[in-house]
Amino acid sequence: MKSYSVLLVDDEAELVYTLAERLVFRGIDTAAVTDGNAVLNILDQREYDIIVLDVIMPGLNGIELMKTIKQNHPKIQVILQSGRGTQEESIEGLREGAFDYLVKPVDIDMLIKKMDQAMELSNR
Amino acid sequence: MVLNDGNIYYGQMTASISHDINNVLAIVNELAGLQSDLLYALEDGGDIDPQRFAKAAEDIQKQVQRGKAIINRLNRLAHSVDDPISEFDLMTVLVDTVEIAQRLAAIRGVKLNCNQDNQLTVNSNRFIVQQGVFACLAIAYSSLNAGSAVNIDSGIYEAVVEIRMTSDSPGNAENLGDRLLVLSRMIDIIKGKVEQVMLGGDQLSLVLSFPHHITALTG
Repeated sequence: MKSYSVLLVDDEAELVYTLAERLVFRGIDTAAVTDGNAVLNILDQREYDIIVLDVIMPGLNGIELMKTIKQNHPKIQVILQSGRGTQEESIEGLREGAFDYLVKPVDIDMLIKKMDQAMELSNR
Repeated sequence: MVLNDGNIYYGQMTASISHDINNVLAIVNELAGLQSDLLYALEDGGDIDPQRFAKAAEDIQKQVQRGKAIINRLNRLAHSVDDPISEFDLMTVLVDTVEIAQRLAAIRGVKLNCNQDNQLTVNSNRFIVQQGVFACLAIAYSSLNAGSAVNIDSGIYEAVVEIRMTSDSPGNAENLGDRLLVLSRMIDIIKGKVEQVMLGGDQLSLVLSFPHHITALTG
């Protein structure tokens, strides 16, 4: 059982809900959403410790969304994931405040390790 | 110059396809992972839902079919350079190109609608036709606001194929003249041309036209 909460954001419904199911299976408090535009409203209702955010979503730039999240909720750690996996995107994401940048498909144990590390950083 | 212009679009198209394949792999990865989780839980004496396991298997099959369709599109794109001139079904090229461009358009919140009523066999250079259509779509979706749509229609008029891409809202294409000039140079090889047609309400309408049947390339 982990002590943190996670919000997964990705427009690929099957991907995000299955990953959420697997994280819940491992005792992690996880929610998932397919509409990136809904994230800020969700965060107004409930804080999450970590957001795992897809960089490329319809009508939405994940890095821009992350900047807004970080402005309004500076304690939230954001882990970006992308199917594109370019060095430029990775550098921009990290420069703008992402804890890490992962390329899809993401290994669940690697994701959990990154989330643990992100929380260690938050708790320092 | 013509090859360089074509290569730019070819690169964008293959990048979009690889992104789609990556998403399929990511979903299969999670579904197979979920099945492993369920089996481990069963071995540990847990009470698992067999229906959930079966549903994951069914969903993997669906993703395999999705991946197969994407790879078939990639395969047709790769083989579009095989012959300088060949006979091909225009609608297959249009649907493939719209599917490839759809993800890039969706990032900007723009939807692409392809009218699939007209079946038309064309004798031309399939690579240049597909690059030309993709270039027009790229110009169209990049000039529109989120929530807009581009409608794609095709027809043949006096042995000339016309592919019309029309937005449902005003467009604001930056450097439109330059981009059309570059595109014109590329499609000149199939004796084609591209025009911007003015419509009421500042809608953007691009018309790509080329002979239905050619026997040699220009230049």
